[in-house]
Amino acid sequence: LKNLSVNEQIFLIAIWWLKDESYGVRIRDKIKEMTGRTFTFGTLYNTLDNLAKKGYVTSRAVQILNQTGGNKRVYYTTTKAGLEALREARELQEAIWKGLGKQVF
Amino acid sequence: MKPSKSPSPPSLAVWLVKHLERYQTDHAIIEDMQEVFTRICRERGYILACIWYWVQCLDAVAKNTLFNLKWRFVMFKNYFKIALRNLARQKGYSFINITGLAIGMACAIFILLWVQDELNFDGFHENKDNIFRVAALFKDEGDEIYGADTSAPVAPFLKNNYPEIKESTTVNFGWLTGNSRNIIKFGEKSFYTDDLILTDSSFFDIFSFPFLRGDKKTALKNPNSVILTLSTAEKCFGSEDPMNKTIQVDGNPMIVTGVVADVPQNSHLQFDVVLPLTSVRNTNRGFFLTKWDSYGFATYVTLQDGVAINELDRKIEDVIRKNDPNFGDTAAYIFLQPLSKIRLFNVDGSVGFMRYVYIFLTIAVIILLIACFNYMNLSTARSDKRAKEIGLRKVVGSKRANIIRQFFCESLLYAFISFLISILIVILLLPQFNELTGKRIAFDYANPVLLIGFVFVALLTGIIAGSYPALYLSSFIPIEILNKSKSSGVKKSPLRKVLVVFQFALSIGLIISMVIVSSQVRYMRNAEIGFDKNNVITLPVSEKIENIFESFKNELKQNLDIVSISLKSSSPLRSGGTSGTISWEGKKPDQQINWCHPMVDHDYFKTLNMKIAEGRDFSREIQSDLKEGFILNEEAVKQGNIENPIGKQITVNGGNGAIIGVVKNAQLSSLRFTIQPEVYHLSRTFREQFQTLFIKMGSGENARQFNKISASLAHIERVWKKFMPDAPFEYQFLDESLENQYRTETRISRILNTFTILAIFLSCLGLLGLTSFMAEQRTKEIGVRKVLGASTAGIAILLSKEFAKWVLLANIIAWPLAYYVMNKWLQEFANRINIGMGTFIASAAIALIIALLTVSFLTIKAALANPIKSLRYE
Repeated sequence: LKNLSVNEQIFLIAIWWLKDESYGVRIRDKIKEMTGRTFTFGTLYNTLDNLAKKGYVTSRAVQILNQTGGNKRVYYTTTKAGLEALREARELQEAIWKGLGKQVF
Repeated sequence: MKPSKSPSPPSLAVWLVKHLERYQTDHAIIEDMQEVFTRICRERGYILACIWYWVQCLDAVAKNTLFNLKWRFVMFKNYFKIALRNLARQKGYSFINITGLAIGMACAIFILLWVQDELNFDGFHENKDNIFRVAALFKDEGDEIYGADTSAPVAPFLKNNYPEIKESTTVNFGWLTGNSRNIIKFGEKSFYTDDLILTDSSFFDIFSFPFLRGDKKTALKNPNSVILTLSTAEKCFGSEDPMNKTIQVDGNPMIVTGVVADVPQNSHLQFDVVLPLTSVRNTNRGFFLTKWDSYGFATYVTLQDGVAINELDRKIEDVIRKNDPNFGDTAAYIFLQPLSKIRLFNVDGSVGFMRYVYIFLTIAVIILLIACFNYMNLSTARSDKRAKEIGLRKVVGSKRANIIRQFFCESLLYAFISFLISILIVILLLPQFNELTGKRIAFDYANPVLLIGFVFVALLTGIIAGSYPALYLSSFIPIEILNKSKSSGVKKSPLRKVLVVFQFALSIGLIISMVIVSSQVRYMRNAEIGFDKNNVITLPVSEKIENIFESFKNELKQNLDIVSISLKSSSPLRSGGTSGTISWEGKKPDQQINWCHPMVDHDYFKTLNMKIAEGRDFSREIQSDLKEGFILNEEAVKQGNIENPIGKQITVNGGNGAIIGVVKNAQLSSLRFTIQPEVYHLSRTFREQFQTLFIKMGSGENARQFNKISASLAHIERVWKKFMPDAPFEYQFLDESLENQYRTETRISRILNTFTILAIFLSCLGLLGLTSFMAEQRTKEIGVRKVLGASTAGIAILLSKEFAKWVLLANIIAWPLAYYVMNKWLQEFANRINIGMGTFIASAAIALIIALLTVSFLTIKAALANPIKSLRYE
């Protein structure tokens, strides 16, 4: 079973939504928009790193040009395995919550 | 706001983030944080943005650190695994390493325990930091004499006249009772005590000797009260309640008003019976309590809060001069000596016993260093075996720092294992150590200072031992190691030879010190001291003996083995009081003298077999000797500059007479001190009274025959019981009392011997490991040599020669150092041996022989090996 933590699920979904725009700042903003949670960049990159190690995301570095001058920006894309894991996680979630109305808790 | 240039985030934070290992991939984090920073700047202002940036930065730093620790832990696990495997694979080397380190650390721990005990001397008093002893300094024509003694009126005077002083007390160590030893008697039981003190009630306010029974405020109020320590009370009363019972102290009835706990061994004040000073007020010695020039009392004070000692010292320094009308020209100053310095420092503030603390700390360091050097030598010598591993680690991405870390881990692992073993050694051998040092040290597991100290020792050992291997091994260049089939790690390291030389220099230094210290001790014990100490027993007597002495003597002499009996007015090894005035014909008026004037009886010189150099001994036939005869020792004649002393007039404390003889110098006190000038006389010129009875038994060759001695002793006891039924028969052999004077030196010598032997053992252990490695390295060379016709002996010599060279070199370092230190140590002794060249050469020879013997086993084994075995793989 490919276990995804809730954070990882959020990240994967955010990256999927963002398509080509999915680099650090955007991912962070998207997550905030989706869930209201703010992550520090330390946590952000730790999670991205873990996802990359598991093979759920791939990254590519792009040299950018702006006023502060040439740093790199790293873009992330979900992989097939990542989407597969997400689907499994969703199925698991739905299985767990099946038949429970909101009023229970 | 300038749109063209966005404000930049705090540069320190940027720098920090940039250098985090975790986020180094493409520095994407920098770019991202920059972007958000710019946004916040725009929306909320620069300051908030900076705060935001810093929060982000610190968070990243924290995350990075956690991440590093995790990986470091993983690597450490690997390091330890490899270290343990190496340890298990090379059992011989591991054994040498761990034994060496464990012994070294055990020594260090023992010494730390000893030092801690010494530094905590007198540390159990509640207000230990506020207790001072009043010491005195006499300045006399350039001479400065320091003394811990003051006179009795000093304490009350200080308290009454100086508001800075909170409490003050006077202590007398027993002479005020008029007896050198005091008899305690209860019912049928009687025994002597050496540790009787007289003091007042403030004594127990100043010092913390807890009362088990009675009240410390009132216990010494009545002149006829007495306080006992617990063990003394038990000796008298068993388990009965001692309170308000009456005991006899020197024949005077005293009521027990208190019992205190036994005095700890680490107290400079030792007592088992306490009498009030007021108990002597109505005797013929009562006047001492008010006499300003009668030294022989210790004065202790505590101060009010916040009093500056220097200022107070200046205020009180002239107390004696102001109050002592007879003081004359000699200037006397008093000053305060802190309690913490009484044990370890001399009264003048110079290093006293503290010297031994330094010496032993040095020895601890030396032994630890020797153990560390063993480790360094062995692990670098065997670097070949590890070279491939290091090469490979580097190839797959280890940095030098990682390799260094790995070898530190390894040495710390060894240090830790050794530490556990050393703790075991310490626990097991603590009783023996206590016997060796004459202390009662307990291993206090709860003492944080000690525990931290020990862990510190272990860590330090691990770090020192690991330092050189780590730096050396991590410097290997992978391509060189992996390219060559065999690297020559041995020759590349000159430091290894330096370490062996240094190790042996330390050992030789210790051998030299050991030889010098023990010869000094032997010298003091066996020196020609001018009298015959054998077969003489001494017994304390009271003044009553004078009335019965003749009949007592006659009855004793019925046993033919008893040769001679005599009396003296001081304890056996002292020369008697120095107070009073002495003058003689031709004495220069400005001549200061401080002579002892013991009162003896006719047979004193005969009993101790002291030789008369000039003139004659006291004689019973010549009546005038009794009142007017004086005999000087040679030292007195020399110091007094008396030419043709016989017949010269002399006055001792008002007793006039003539010098009838000069006796050869005889030193009864420790040879640590110079000989005292002495004037012997028969009459009571001051307040002397006889204190010690000397009985000489046996004679000549068969003197020490055990049966004879014990028969004589039985006879003496019978007579003693008959004449002095009240006094216990507790004798001491004079030679044993003399030996006891050298207890400290003997002890130091024994401790030094033990540690020296351990140090040599450790050096040899290292040498053994190194030789076995070298022999292994040179197996092929030896094989080829043998094939070409080298003899076994030749090869053994070839292998030993190198070590011999190192050991000889070590002497060059060791000699001057040892000479300097030992010369300094010997300065403490008035009578000392000369440091001869022989000691040094002998020590060098011993070290060389031990080293060669150690390696001989291995060299001979290597030399005897069949060359076929070593060469067949070629």
